[in-house]
Amino acid sequence: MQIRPVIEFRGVGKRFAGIAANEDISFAVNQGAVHAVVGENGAGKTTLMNLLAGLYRPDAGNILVRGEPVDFHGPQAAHHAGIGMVHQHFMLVERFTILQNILLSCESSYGLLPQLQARQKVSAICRRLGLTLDLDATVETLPVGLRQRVEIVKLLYRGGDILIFDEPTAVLTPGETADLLELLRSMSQQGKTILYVSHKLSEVLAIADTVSVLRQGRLVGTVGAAETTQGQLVEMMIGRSLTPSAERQTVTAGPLLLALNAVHCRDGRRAKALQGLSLQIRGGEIYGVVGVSGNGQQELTGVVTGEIAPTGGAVKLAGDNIAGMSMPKVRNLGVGLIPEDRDRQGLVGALPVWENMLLGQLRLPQFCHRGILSGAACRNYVAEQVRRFGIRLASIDQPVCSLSGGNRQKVILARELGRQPRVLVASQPVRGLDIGAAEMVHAQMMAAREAGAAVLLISADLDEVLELADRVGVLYAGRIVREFRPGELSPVEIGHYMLGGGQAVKPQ
Amino acid sequence: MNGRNQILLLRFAAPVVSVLLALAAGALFMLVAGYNPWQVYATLLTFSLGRADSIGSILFYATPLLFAGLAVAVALKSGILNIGVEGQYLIGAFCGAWVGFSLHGLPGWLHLPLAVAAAMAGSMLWALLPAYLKLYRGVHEVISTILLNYVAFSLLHWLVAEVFMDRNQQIPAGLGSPLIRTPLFDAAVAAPKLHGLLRLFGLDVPDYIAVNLFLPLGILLAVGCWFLFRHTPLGYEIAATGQGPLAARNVGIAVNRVQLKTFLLSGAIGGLVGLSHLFGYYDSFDLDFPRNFGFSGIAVALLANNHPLGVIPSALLFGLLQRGGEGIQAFLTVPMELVVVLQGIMILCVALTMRWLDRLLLRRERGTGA
Repeated sequence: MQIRPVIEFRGVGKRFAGIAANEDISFAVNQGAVHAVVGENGAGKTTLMNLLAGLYRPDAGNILVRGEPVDFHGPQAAHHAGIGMVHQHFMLVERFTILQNILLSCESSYGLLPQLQARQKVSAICRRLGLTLDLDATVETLPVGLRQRVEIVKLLYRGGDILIFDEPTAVLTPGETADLLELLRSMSQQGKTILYVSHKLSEVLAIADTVSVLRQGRLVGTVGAAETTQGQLVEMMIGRSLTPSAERQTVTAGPLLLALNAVHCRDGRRAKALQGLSLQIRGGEIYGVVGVSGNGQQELTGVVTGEIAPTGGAVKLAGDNIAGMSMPKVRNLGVGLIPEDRDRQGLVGALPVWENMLLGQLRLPQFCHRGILSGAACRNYVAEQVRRFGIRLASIDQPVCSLSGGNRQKVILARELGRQPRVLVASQPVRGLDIGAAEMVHAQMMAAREAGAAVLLISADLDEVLELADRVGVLYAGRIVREFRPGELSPVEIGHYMLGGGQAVKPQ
Repeated sequence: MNGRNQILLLRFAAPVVSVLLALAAGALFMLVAGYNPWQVYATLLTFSLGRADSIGSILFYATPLLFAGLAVAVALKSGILNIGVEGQYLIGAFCGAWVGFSLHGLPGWLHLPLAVAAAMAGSMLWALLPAYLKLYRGVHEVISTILLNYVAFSLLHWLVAEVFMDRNQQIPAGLGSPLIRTPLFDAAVAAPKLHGLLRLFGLDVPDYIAVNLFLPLGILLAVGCWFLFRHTPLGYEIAATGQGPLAARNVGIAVNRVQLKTFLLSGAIGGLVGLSHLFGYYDSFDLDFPRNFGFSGIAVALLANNHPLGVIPSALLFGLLQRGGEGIQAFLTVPMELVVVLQGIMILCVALTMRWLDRLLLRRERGTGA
């Protein structure tokens, strides 16, 4: 490996509305290296990468590419310097073929002859990387992992040799992740420089040569991946060491609280979404659901909370069939929900914190006498919950949207757990949260489990599920196709079931 | 806390700033049209506020706008844009009129409340139609209420000109044709006037200005609505439904039922819009019964930023502009249309400044966050 910095950040700073998103960041990236940039949400990783990709211009400092200071006036300028970015959301036209999508990114490739040459060039790139892509397949037919390959080939075709990946594995299954890491390794061996932005430290340590850690817009340090550990990186990221997660309490399984029996339902477009889904959760148990998104996760949440009336099968809450009941009724029977899209489905942003915390509960006798609210009772209760859940705010009258993401999620938790639900449905409960807030959310879910609730955890983050759940079900095509206890299956095996391998099993 | 007070101050400042902006923009317009804006505004103010009959007129003009503004504001709180207050109040007024002319011999304390109840019920039923269409058939209320306004106009025309037309009118021979109106109301249904009360405040309002009982009723209703939104669960459920329907549903609020209730409440309030004119000024339901109060109510609610108490000054301001317009027309020969233009500019300015201030406020509130 040559030791020549291909990119150098020198005192780079960027402010938005006076707030420093990046400040005085300096580090160098070597040619052919895989250089990871890690940090919590809001630490400034994406801003820094956007500066390099020409989407923003720095307010302070310089960026040097191959020793020359650059000042990109847009992403095109960065492309000409060989810099390309694979975004979290793919920039592909679904109806076009792979080849068309790749050509679309280059102005000079219209006409028959250039197209023929282009096809050869694309094929050559794929061969070099050991990829098999059917160039004439339309993108809409491809799984997410392959779409990402198309993005990568697109960048290489344009002559990119510095590739930026922004949280590339967030959308992938474990198997796809392993393939991607393999691909990155082979690209780096061919001399491409890779900047890898992530907060999944296990991946980072598996792939990166060097790791730069950002915290609150500043560079904490750049370390060799071989000389560090996950614990050290976490400490650098959050400024303290992670409190070791509390000893997992053994909870004796309580009564059967939630049972779904051969549930069928249709989605918004009337297509079959759940096709005979069965699962059972006891009190004091966390049941994790993993699967590629779109296999019925939303509908599973819907039938348990009463949002969707199943077209067949039974949904039993502590023995009573709740299938087809209205949402308010189901909720009153003791079902709590931490919704996937917390800002739209869980909170009313413009309303104050205290109203959000009591949303839907104002009619309870403790808050309301003869149809008139008791302001003091409401405020005392909310203040108490704010204290218990450690919500950081200036006043319970401020609009909930002015809180940070973690504190918004805590408001929802405080509301849902304050009702002491028998069944708690948590959908992507820590998505987008920083490590500290995620820790707190997980601790509260464990507390609910210890208090005897049945917790249904639906998450795209396999690590999260394996850490928290007592039992895990793999959701595929609207059914639980495999149940197991954490540790029984390897991630690759789980990925196999997530993609439809294996037979449906009956839950015990 | 200082930050919170500043925010509160800004909330109150928003409508004031927009009115001032509108006056400035209106002045520009007058300059272009060849009038002296200083003189126009001075006349408008002195004429509107310097005479007892003007004060009386402003109060009279503001009364229907108060109800219309409340009807629109209440619906908007739950995310319903009730353009149909227009048709609802006309239907309501006709129902009230029906009770007014068909019953006789009841005492006033019974007859007037009966007529009011009939007006509210009629208007509410008319609102039930778009409410049903929205909540159970997915028809957007803006479309259905606009169209139902036309249906209401035609229905009233038929009812007044055909079904209930008073054909026993005494017309001196050779002196014109009969009016297109219902039979005359029973005298007991007339709304008590406020002249005695106003005299206590030193305002000697002439008799022909019909400011009446419906004005204090409207103010009471505004306070009632404020209480609903501030101190009852339903009020908070309405606000949550309007601003975050998905979240409201997930916490177990029956969003459809809340919106149905709000739509009907809006309709019932709408039924009161025309009554101060109907039972305070007219003696029958005439084909020329005043229109457009419902549409003005949208502007009144907008200027009040949907706050029930804000509707009171907002309605009074529109009443003042109406009266002031009459003044400048009489004294400066400035056409009434100029005042209408001024109102239009004001609504635009309100919409713009509210948006701008909202964003400012949000940023400020973020600043006070953790």
